[in-house]
Amino acid sequence: MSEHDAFSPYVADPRSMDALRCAADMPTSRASNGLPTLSYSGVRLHSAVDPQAEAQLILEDTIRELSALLARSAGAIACVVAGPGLGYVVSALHLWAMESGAAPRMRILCVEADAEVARKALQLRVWENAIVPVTWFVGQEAWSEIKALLGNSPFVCVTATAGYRLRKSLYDEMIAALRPYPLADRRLKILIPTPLYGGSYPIALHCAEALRTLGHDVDVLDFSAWYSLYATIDETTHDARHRRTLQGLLTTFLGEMVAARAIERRANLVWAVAQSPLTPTALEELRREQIHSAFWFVEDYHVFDYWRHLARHFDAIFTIQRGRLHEELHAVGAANVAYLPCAANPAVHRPMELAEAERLRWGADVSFVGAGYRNRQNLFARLRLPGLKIWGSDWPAECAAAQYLQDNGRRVTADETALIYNATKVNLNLHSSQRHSGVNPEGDFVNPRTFEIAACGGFQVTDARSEMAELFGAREMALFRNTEEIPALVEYYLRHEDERGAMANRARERVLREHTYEHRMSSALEFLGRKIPHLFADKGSNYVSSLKQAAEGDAELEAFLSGFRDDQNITLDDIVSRIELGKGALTRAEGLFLLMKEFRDWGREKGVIQ
Amino acid sequence: MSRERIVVVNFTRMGDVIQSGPLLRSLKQNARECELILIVFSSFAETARRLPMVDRVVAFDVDHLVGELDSRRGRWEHAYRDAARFFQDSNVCDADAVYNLAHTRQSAMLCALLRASVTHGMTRSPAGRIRVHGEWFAYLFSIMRERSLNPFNLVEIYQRFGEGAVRSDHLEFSVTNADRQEANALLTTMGLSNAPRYVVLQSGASSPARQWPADRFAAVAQALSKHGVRSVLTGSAAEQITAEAISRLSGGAAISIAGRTNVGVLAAVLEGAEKVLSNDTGTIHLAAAVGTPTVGVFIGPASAKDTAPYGNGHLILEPDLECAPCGYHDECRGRECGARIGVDHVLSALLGDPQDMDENESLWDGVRAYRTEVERNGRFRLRLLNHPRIPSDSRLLEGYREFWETLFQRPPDCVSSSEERLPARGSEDSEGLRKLAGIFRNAKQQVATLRASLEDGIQSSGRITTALSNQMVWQNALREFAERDLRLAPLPRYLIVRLSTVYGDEVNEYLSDLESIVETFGRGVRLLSAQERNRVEEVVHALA
Repeated sequence: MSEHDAFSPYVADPRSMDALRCAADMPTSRASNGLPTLSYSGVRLHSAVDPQAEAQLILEDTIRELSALLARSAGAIACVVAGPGLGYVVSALHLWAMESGAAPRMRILCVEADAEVARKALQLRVWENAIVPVTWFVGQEAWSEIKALLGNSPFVCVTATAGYRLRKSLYDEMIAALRPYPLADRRLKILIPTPLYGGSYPIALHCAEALRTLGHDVDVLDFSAWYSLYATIDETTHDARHRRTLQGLLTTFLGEMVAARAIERRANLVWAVAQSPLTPTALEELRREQIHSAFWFVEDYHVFDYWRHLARHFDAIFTIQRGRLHEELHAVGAANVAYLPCAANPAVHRPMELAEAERLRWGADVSFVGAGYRNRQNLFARLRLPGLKIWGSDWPAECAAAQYLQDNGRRVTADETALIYNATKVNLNLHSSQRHSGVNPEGDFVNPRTFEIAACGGFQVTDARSEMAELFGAREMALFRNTEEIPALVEYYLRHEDERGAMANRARERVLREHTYEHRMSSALEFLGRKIPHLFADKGSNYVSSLKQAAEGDAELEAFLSGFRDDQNITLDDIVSRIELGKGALTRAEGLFLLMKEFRDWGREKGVIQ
Repeated sequence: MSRERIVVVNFTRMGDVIQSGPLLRSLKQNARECELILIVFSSFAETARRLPMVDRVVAFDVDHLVGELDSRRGRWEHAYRDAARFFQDSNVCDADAVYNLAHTRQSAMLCALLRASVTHGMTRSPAGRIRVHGEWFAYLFSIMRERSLNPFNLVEIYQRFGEGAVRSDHLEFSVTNADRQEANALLTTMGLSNAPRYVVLQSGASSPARQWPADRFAAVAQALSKHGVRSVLTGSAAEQITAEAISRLSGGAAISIAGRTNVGVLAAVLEGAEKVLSNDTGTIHLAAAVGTPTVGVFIGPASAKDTAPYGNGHLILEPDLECAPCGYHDECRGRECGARIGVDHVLSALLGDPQDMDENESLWDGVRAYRTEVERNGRFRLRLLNHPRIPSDSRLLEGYREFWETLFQRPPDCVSSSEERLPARGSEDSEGLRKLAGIFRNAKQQVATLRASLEDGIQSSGRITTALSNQMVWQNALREFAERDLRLAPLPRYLIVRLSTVYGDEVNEYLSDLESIVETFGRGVRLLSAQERNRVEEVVHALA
């Protein structure tokens, strides 16, 4: 049995396991009582005399908290140990759980930021054979995995260890992430500037829908109408310098529109996606106005690099890749960076009952939907799959794969992709690359199509990606690592309808459970809430609840405000827009609001207020 | 029976508050037992308190309210509370009459919330629509952008707001002994105790375009000092730096008390001055109100005929330029205005012998020099002291004075209502009048059609839609006409103001508003036509 096989009962997530694989082995020393002990970064993690007795002392407060929690909670509880070192605390906790009878309702989660320490702990396993489930998380980005495991269980944190003190700020941040954030306390006003076109345009709309569902006030600044102007630039000149200048001017103009709209509407947050037209100037203007901005970069950072000059001007950046990208983002001054994978909108990508004609029109044994990137052209040229249909644009007529191309290579709409995924027996998915001739062996992020096919209840055969294991499992879709594996997989699944149906169902359930835009927006807002606490904490004056409070005893005003939700963040313009002129006598409250608006506009016109 | 209450809302600046004095006096005389309440912005509350005919001044703290409405730091629930409190606590609601002297949307809303029995001027209807009650109010708004053919001084227009009121012939402002003592103490501190003769120089103005150059003020001060007259520079705190710079430039001939006076002390300083030299500012009206002769330097958009100090014997200098006075929104590239009025012109006005000023035209080369006169009936006149290169069309202005006075009389007693008197194609009347008459006929026809269809019981909503779109047609025709025919533009501009406040919410009210406007339109065209005919007859008579 390998070392890692021995770790696996205690390590649930692949990222932790990967970190352990890369970790160096560390020497231990012996305490006076003969037990192993460890020093890390010059800090002794356990007592040099009796680590077990030390662990008992560390747990004194925790045990009181756990007892209280058990008393008031009927279900399962958890204990999170931050910086457990070699795990003597785990052993002591287990002992207490057995003695107190808490064991059947309890689980222990160890969070160890340093993989070398965790590796040594897992080698020694001082808690071996514990009845209470013990799970280790290794590394510095494990909070989302821990949160997933914790679910809604109440928990207690152990923070009296030497390991915690060594990395206090990091553990504090992780613990804060585990606490449910009271997002519902504040409804945000969110402005979403869409891109002019392209794959991230629908993502912006999906985000808007999800944020609305989560109860926020969302204002979409839809720039799709500007695409024709953008396209005119290409028709105007072939000179690359001129094109860049004109495109830059248009982006500057639209960026100013975003700032103007956000300021006008007093947005709390501008949520941008890849290709949303924003400039450092516009973002700094937002910052000056105390309007926060976040950017979901739903593109491959190897292909586009405009994020470099924008990154530090956003308050937070979300990416579909991590590792090196996050390092580079920090290097260019981005303050808050988080991983946020793609997702699906089950309202658009959903299982459909198709008529025979639709099945004939959109269906096939094997389909592929996507633009004709270099690696796709090569791969499909070599595959020669009978019954293959390719949908999408930018496939050169001269490439061999063009023989499979449908509808003259026009771009298909989101609704049409849903029809195709539903009508197809085997949906092929190949992530794009201009640098490879087939599968990108280093591919990391998972594209939206993966989630969308799954959300449709479609079966897919897709290329392996390093981030895939965390998002989907082998029982949910079939993976290939090179072109040669594809024909056999396709042939197998075409013959095994039940198997592919079961996998597709599981994939859809996974999407609904974990990968919708609502999940992503919740995660993003949670992250923002931690990083920018006042974004949610500031229950400023524009809340209906605070207005109602101020209106106490003013029945007319209370009646007027009853048309708004208490947690709604409203502007004076929101209120005035509800007042209908010329339709019966105004109430005094309506008149006062109109008076305020007139003076507000006057003050703005004179430049004395904003 | 409770005492009648009249509320006047004057959300303007210091000069306008002082210029509203004759109207307030008339209102007070008309209803002697009434309580006359004046609502002004807080900054001008002290000025308002010195108007002796006003019983109570209510300060509206606009700076505080607007601050609360700042989207960055404001708390608009506080703004709501404060605004509500204003109406609750100031005892200004439900008055017998409200007069709104401002033509702003904010003052209109405030007046609507006062809920008086009668409101004159701009307000909002109970349903929230902007309305303007009173012909003279609509007239004032119609001249805001283009005033070249306005024959009335602002005080005269204000006076006409009080329908049927006795017209007062002077501005008023109470100066107390305490003000005088404080002013004396201040001037003594500044070294003026042994030099009782002094002239006040008000060098600042509300906009740079109205400001005569600072170095000229300094030169005037130097020249005055040679005649044994000291100069005192006044101004607000914001004008302090400029005033002190002028003082330095004058080599100490002028001393600055800018920023050191409240309005009472300023009035006392002005009262003690031999003369006051000023741009078109509140200070010049304050000086006129305390009875000190003034010399006004009216440049840029400042227009002597519109806002020269209301009183006798004030001397106003305007540059003799084609473009003077310019519009509020014109951007002067030449900046010739200020340069055209020389130090010598001003010194002649300040030190010259009155008879010499009236008779020696050579004193006023390059400028238009006027002396102000107010007749016993309150009529304001500007008497031109010279024959400038570009004279104003005083005959045309006189014609318009008669026109508006007659038009707003009811029923018209000097104009025939006969349709035949309307200018017809081919008559001797001007082309412009014929076009205007054409627009009138179209408007009249459309309004008559609407009336007929209503009387026939035809469903009203569709009719209103059609009428509104027809109204836009002739409203646009009026607008276009006003842009092309400047000589006849005042009437169309006035009608446009009236038309901008009719709404199709309720058909009978809409039709009644339109009929009233069209009736005024018809009378206006007939009146202009009659004036035109008289002019032609005069010309024919002269030629014969």
